[in-house]
Amino acid sequence: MTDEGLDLAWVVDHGALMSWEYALLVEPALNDLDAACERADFVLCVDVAAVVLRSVVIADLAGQGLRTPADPIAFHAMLAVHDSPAAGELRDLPLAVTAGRADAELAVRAARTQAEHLRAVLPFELPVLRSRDSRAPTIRATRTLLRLRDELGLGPVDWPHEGT
Amino acid sequence: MTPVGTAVRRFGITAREALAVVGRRVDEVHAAVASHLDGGEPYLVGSLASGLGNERSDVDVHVFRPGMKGPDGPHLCYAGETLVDVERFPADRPGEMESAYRSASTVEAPFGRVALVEPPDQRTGNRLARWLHAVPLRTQAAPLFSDDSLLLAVLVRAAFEDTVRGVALARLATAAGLSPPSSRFLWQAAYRCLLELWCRARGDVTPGEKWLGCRVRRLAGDASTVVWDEAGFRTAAGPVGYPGIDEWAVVNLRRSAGLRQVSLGDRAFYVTARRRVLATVCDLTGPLAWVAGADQASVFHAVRRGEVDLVVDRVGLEAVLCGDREAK
Repeated sequence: MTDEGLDLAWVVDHGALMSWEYALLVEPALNDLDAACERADFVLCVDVAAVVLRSVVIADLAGQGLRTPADPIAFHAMLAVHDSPAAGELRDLPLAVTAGRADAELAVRAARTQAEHLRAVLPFELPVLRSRDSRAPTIRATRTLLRLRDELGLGPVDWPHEGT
Repeated sequence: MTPVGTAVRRFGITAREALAVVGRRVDEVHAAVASHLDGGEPYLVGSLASGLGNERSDVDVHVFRPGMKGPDGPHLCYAGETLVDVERFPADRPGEMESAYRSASTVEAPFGRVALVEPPDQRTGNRLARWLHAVPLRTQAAPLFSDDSLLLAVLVRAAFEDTVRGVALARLATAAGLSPPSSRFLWQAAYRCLLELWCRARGDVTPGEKWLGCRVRRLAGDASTVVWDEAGFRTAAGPVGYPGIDEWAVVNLRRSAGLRQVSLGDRAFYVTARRRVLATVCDLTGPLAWVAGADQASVFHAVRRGEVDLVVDRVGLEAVLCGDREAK
């Protein structure tokens, strides 16, 4: 952030989508990653690490105003050349079906690191969306967002979710 | 290798067994979703219903209720500390889905039984896959479909088309001279499409990228081939029964459905479905075998930017599938 602060229009549009994608996609995937690690299921660890990294790329793209294609083949074309560190880590993952402990440890570390990097650049964090006590704070955040968008003459949030 | 079947696998799962994975009983989950039933019938769907999942998994319940015009939800409820995610659908929606494919022919391809029909879009296909593995919360509830083998053949068709398009893209990337990590990533993605096809042909339609490796493992699949390039893919494809075809001959380049032209002042632009504004776009259309010759890199990046789509030529593909065999 510069000393001029963040652009309000970005925060209530692309930035908000980035935060929501983090809460909707990355956070649940990290929870799945913890479960896979607890079971020492190396195959699952690598497959879930890939889901975390793809979700980080989707959130990153949302922050740039880019929508993710629903077609998985078209999305692969984006992932193959996208220059973000998360996409690079995704390309370097081993194939899950033959993964052993060392593969799983590398994959899990990469996924957690990239998720942490993304979290550090979110404009704001939402409560964990699928937790029992998240409803009220999520509604409050949504109301504030809609009010700020209204002040800028922006319409309702155009939730993407084409690519998830 | 597990033999190819024509029925959806149930993996011997009952609601009681599936919910035991998350430490819950059927009556607890039934009580949690009771306020959303309104006379509807609840079914367990998702990873737990597919015989996967673990102690941290959410419980996904789909309710099929008479009198609804369209789906609603998700509604989040709790059974103890376990999240129960409820979505509701009109009671006749599974029957409508089945009717849409009732007249479809099928053919026995080397990789499995495949429907000669346009497969559903991604979202509908995922929903169909979840419903094919659905487990009723009440043991006396009727199955959602009367003939799930035809619907399985529809999902096999979808996976086959994805594999063909995935290979076409990986070949394009290689021909375009993309960096080795990019090209290798796309060959591995094509291989994952092939493994999805292999699982579906054996009756396992569990949705969700994260479960693919576990599904191959439980079906005792051999995934030992290293797939970094086309040679590796073809080696892995043989035992699966994936045909030796020229994917570029059965995949067309088409102007992207989401592309639109706008004029701003004295200039014309194209707006893509990915929310980018471009001054010019790729105007090539037709089979990849014809159009990719000139400048493969330009074509690849046009696909990446959403200017053009890779779509299957269904007539050409069905000619490959049928060969000299009769469709049933």
